[in-house]
Amino acid sequence: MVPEFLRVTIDFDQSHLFFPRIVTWILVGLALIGVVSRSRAFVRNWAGMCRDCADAARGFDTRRFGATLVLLVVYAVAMDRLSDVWPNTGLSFLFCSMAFMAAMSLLYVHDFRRKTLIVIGLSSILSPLVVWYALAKLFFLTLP
Amino acid sequence: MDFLAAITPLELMLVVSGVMIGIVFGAIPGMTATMAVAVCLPMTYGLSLNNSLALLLGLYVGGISGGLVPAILINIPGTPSSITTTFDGYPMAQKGEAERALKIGIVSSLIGGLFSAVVLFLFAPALADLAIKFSYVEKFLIILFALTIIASLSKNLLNGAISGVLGIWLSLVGTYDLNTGGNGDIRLVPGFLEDILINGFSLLPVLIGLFGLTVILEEAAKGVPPEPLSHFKLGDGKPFRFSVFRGHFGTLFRSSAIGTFIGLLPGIGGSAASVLAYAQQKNLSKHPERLGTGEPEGVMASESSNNGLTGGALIPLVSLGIPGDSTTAVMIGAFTLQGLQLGPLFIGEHLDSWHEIMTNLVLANIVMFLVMFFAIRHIVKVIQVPKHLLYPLIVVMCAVGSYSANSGIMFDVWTFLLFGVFGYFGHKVGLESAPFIIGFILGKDAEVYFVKSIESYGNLAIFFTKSPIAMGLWVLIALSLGYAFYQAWRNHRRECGA
Repeated sequence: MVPEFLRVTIDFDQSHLFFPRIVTWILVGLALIGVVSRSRAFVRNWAGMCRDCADAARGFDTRRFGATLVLLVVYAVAMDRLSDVWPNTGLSFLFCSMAFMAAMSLLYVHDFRRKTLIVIGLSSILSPLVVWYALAKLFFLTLP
Repeated sequence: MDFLAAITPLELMLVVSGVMIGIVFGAIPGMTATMAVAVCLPMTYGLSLNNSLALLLGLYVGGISGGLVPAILINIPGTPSSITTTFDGYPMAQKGEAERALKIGIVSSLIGGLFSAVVLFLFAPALADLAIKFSYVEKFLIILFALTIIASLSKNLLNGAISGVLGIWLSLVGTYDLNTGGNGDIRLVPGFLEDILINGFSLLPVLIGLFGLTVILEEAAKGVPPEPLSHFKLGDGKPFRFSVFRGHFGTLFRSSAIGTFIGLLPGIGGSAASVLAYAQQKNLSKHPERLGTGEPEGVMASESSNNGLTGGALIPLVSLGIPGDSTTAVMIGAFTLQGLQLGPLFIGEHLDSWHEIMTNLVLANIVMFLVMFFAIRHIVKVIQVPKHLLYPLIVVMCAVGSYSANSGIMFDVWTFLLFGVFGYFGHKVGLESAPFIIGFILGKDAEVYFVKSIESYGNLAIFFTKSPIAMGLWVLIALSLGYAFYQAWRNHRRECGA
């Protein structure tokens, strides 16, 4: 005999919400426990935690991190827009990737010697070309 | 042995390429075997399943093994699983025995890998035979057990639990699939996004973003420090001889077994395997005080355990459809692309592919040994590959992999970027990738099994009373939670005492 409180019926029309609701409540419960326990830790040791945050902020490279995010968004947008200009050829991917690789390499490099710049230039042209040729021409994959 | 003869030249070439690319990824600090598999997934789009397996298993074994190179030469583990290799490998390198330490590590990796392949071969079909009898109730409990283990062995119990549940929650975004008995309605999506999120987030772009882009953003935040070009020398100290293993077969066997067992547990990375094996070695060594000062047995324990993980992690993958670690989680993406469902029926229905997995795993270990053992002097140069050339190429590969995952959908590229950024900020607030991704992969199945169980039986008691297996699974769930709470309590006491 199953006790009444353990009996459950699921209305088919609402069945798509049954499991997500349970998961949402569990997630909210866990998040609340997390917030409460962290607030208690923060109250106990706020000076130390502020110091840790300040230390972390000091080692943070805002320029490279921010520029990486901008480059990623510009890369995706440009690839999408240019794929209307050259549809189903992968050329949008090819040219955008060349520009993206050059920009990102220049952003990350620390040593701006002539030889380094030549290697960056060659890598930015040849790497996307090889990837494009292999995927679009050999494997016949759809590229933007 | 027929299946050994069935290896085609193309498969052999793919295993060799996979191992070599994997070694490169493993040998560069910050890049992992998981990243290697994620980045190379687009290459499998145009390959058959068997050829894809050859490439992916090569990447997996190469990626795990490559981590020992920087661990020994520059004291930085190439992959998290090589952390304990630094303890004795680097001191050996400082004594002028770098080449000897590398070769001890390579041979130990081979032994660990082959040991785990044997266990996989013997154990996976037996587990699949057992799992085939599971109803929806037991299948749900298996997933629940996997998730509790992941959470309990995470760095922080609460963070691990939140990560896993968040992964499940995000996997439910989109339509409740009619093909799995759902009602076809959409949920957890704001109205203005319904058109693009009707099918939810695709698995591959999520994986590629989390394991490919997050690492690059973390490096960017640190300013992409220049490579430790390092003035390492392979050394002219004691030469390597196989006799170094005399008297250490117990170490190799025990550490390989620990690695394989840890691999069996879902979501637990190689770092846990190597740390546990190293700790055991220290407990059982005749000279525990020497460990950490450049003892070959330390390198043996670490490297045999982390390669032992490979076959172990494949056991729950092929027999239950549950990934054993983050790399095998990414491999699920490759199987999905080929339209294959991993789980209890996989071995019986795809015997050829099962044999391919076994053959390629053994082959990948042998190729890894041959490549690394005889070309180690060249491989060490990989550490010097500049990140400013490598990272942009990885982003390009990730972008094209995401775009092609569903035959050309631009939203998948945005998903990849979104989850890359999410991974970066998630790590900052303590979220963990492995529990998250395993929750994401298993979330939809968990829903189907849970809802169908209730629809079939109409009560919650069935989860406890369905069968002796269900009861046994509850005992395991209780044990894993009990262990987690005990660990959390011990850590708390230690912190209070400090």
